[in-house]
Amino acid sequence: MSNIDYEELIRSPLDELDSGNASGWGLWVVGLVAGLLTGLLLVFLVGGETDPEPALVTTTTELAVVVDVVTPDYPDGYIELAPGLGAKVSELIVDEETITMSVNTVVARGGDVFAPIWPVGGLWWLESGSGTMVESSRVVLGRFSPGVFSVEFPAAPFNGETQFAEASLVERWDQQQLTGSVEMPFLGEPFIAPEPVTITASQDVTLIVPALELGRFLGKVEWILVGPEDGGRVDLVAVLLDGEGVEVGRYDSFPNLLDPGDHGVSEIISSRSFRDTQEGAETVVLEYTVSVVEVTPVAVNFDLGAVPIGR
Amino acid sequence: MTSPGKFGIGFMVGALLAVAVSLAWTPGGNPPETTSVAVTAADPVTVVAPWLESGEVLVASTVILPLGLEVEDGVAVFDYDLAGLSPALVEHEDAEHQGDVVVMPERWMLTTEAGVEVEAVTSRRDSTVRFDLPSLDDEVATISLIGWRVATVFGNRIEMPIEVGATGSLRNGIVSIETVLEQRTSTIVQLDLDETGDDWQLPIIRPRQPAWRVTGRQGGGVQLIWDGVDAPDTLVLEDAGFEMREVAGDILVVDQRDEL
Repeated sequence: MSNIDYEELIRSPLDELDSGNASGWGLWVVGLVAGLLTGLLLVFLVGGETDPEPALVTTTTELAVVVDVVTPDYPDGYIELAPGLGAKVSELIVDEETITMSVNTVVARGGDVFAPIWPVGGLWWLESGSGTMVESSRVVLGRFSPGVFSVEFPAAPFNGETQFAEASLVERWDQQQLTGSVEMPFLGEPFIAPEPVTITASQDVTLIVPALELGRFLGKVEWILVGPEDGGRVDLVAVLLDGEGVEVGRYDSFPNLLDPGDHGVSEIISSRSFRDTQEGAETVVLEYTVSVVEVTPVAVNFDLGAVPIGR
Repeated sequence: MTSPGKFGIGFMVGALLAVAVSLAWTPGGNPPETTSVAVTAADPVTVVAPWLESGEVLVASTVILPLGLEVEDGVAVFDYDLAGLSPALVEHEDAEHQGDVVVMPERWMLTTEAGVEVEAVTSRRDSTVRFDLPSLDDEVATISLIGWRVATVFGNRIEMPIEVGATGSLRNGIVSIETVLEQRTSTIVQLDLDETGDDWQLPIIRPRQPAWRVTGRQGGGVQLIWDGVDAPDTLVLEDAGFEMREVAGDILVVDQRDEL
């Protein structure tokens, strides 16, 4: 065997540090210093590639702009008079006895212009520039109503004053609509209902039709409303059906915009003229629409400062 | 621990210390700062959408819809349509109809590129306005509506004795009783209307007493029937017509100044 001391050959000088004497920790210190130097060098090198300015950490957050697109319900200058209906005072017309306030209305954007009921009636107050306040005497409806209506005030309490500050709707005539129909046999031309027709429109409202006549071209219907405290409006349509339920005639009344009441007479007109007779008719269907007025307290104010005064 | 292990640990500790010290201290002497950004929700921006399409013009509750402007041989012709925003009682056959038109244009003002003003007038049934320009080569700068009419209802109440020749005053005319025919079970009264207003007024007579029925309207006349033998001595009527009231203003309808 060889006498070569292989262990000596493979021994590293560093192995001496592991001999258990104090000089072995010198390598730890050397390593620490070397590490410090290397670390500082790295920091310097890395730091040199970045902004040499003091580190100021700033967070920038871009806020999304929130845009609310508002579509007004009514054009400029119109105030909501009732749900879905805007109004604007167009003129005050002053004469010796009466002050007439002309109002025009618009349907809210997207609303139905042909909705059957518009609450344009009610009680108004008119206040003059000097503070005199007067209650309306009535609401006037006519051609172009409900797109246009007028409110009348007595002129005398204003004593000739023609400066007006404000008009206010304080009670609005809302309407509850009750609809339905009744049938009766067609008894021959011209049709005359043999007896009054009593219709229970609701628990509190009874419609009585004392007279119903249907000529070949024209008809007449009387009505009485029992129950509603503030009256109502009644529209009646008579339809003639043949034995198989097919419509052979129809009598319409013009939409009723008169002041609400508890009785009335309506002229109804055949919208489909009979060529010769009402031949074929076997059943009369009377369709009714009762608009019961319900007084709703409101406070809708119109500034009259810029409203023209006419005569 | 071996010697290389001690060196390695020392190296690693030194390196970490160097990095830590470097981060904790900067050459400028200031410690690193972190700005604290207070984030508050931005108030929403409210944008009011226009009520009308571009080019449409609102006059009270009616919209003017410009259809076209043609200038030829010294004449400017502006076509328009009207759309109402008002509620309607009766549905119109025209599917494009929006609502009742209660405002109607009447007086227009055209201004030429040279600043000359030309006026024109339209009636209740017009949908075209024609301007005679000062010269053949004039160009239109603007067209404005300077006068319009707004429908108004008055509902004037008229009371008159039921006798031939009796008269009552309307805002725009006179109503008179032409015939009284007393029958066995009814009374017929024929009324005549003498209108003094123009195209902007229209009286419509209706009885206020509900027992009267209107059985005919013809040639300005109205026929009423009272069914029964108890016809009253006084006839109470109401004028349910309209008067289109004049309003002055200045609403720009056409603006071509950018195109000139």
